[in-house]
Amino acid sequence: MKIIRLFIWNAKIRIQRNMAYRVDFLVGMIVSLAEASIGPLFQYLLFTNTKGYPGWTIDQVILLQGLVLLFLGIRGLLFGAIGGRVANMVWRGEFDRLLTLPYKPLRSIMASGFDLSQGGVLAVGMFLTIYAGVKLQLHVGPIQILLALLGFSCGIVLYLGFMIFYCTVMVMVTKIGRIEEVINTLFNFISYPAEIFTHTLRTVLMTVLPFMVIVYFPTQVLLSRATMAVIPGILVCFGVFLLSFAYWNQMLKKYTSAGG
Amino acid sequence: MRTLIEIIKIEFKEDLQYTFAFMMSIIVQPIILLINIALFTSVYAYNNTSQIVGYDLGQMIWYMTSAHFIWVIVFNFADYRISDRVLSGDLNMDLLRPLSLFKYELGIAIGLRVTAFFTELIPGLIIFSIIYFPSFMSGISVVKFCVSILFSFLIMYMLNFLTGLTAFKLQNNASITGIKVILMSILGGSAIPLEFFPVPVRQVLMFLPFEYIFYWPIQFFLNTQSSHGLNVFVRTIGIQAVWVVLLYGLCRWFWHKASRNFSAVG
Repeated sequence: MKIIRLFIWNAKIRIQRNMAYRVDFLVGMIVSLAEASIGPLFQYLLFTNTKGYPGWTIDQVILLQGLVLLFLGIRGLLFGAIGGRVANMVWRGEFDRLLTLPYKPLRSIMASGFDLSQGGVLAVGMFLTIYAGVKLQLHVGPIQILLALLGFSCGIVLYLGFMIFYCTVMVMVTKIGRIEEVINTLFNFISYPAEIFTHTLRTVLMTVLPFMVIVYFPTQVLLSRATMAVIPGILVCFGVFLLSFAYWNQMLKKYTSAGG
Repeated sequence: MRTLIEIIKIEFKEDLQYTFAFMMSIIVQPIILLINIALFTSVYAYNNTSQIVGYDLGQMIWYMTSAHFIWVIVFNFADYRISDRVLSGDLNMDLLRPLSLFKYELGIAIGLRVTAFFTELIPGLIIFSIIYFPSFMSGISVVKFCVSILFSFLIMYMLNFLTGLTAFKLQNNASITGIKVILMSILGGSAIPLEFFPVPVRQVLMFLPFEYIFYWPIQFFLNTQSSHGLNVFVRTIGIQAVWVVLLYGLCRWFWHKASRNFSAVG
């Protein structure tokens, strides 16, 4: 409960800050919206100029892209600011201040991830999902919604796991370049259906690096063609999170407060 | 010229401290290349064709990678650097220097890209070629690419310089910078090959500078059918040169107008 209260408090402050520069915030939101639309636009143009790829129609791909943006919007809105915030804190030597707060440091970091600029991505995602849902005449029941949310939750947990590893290394070595870019690039895998990958890569993406659990699985659930092949992937998502959590605790004990 | 070379050398030495950050794209780009290989192999096989919108499979897979190479060569922070100094008031130090801000920032931009050339472009080209060999390239296409990319660099630098100058009027110009990146990605052909767009849209894009930063150098790099022939090359370089002259004039004019109102108090 404490962490939710802290998150809401941080989010309020962030919104107030954004509202201080309303025009810049609005333009920034339009930019993030346009940026988010590049992926769906590319898929749309690909499908209008070719037959696309096997097993997928243009409306089904729009549904997949809508869910991708919906996931990225939720993830960005809740935790999008974590990377930048930790990096700034470490570079400015303010991490020690975090250790003096009456909250566990990792909780404070997780509760400070709110990023309102990702609202545009969320809006485009919702629009595309609803549009594709109507076009495909999907009948969505509570079970489908729950399974889709399970996929999204696994994605958030996996992302947090990666971000905790990132934050740990950042605190230890202070400067690690563009690691966050690597994490975001890895999440590019969620934008495509499993069918385009080779059998081996598809298995890897379902299990070891379970990116197919995040959006592909919910899309398949909504299209009533999901399989149980994602169960190992779901376990891996939670495993990565627990492992990163243990790594954070272990490394924090070794923290010297003298630049690593 | 000597001063410019000194600035380039200093920036190069400074950037060498961050080689790890530069080399990160060697990890990032193979992931994108891998996705493109899977995506387009599947699309070409399913469509049972050897060409889509004028690109064969190898060229289509390499499209995004070559766009990345162009970003590596043309990218610079002139917009951020100028707006930061305008907002903080630090620009008054630049005004005391015996060389123009335009020239100083150009030196910084060149130094930054020299580092990227050795730490990102060359290792990247070797690694990506091992993953998927660019059999479409030829000696002539490489020469054409090298010439056109120099003009792309200048156009990009001047667009960034102009964006930086907007801070004199707007104070916070981060969103303008964002819009510029989006325009370059979509309208310049760095995110999507322009052939996918309808013909009327492409005809409008011909009158904007963006496709001369990305699309045409990509065409030379990929050695596509549309880039063959001396005429195409001369025409592209000619249009790029016109944009360079036009943007240089705009930079000078805006700098003259903006710097007169600078109060140096942030």
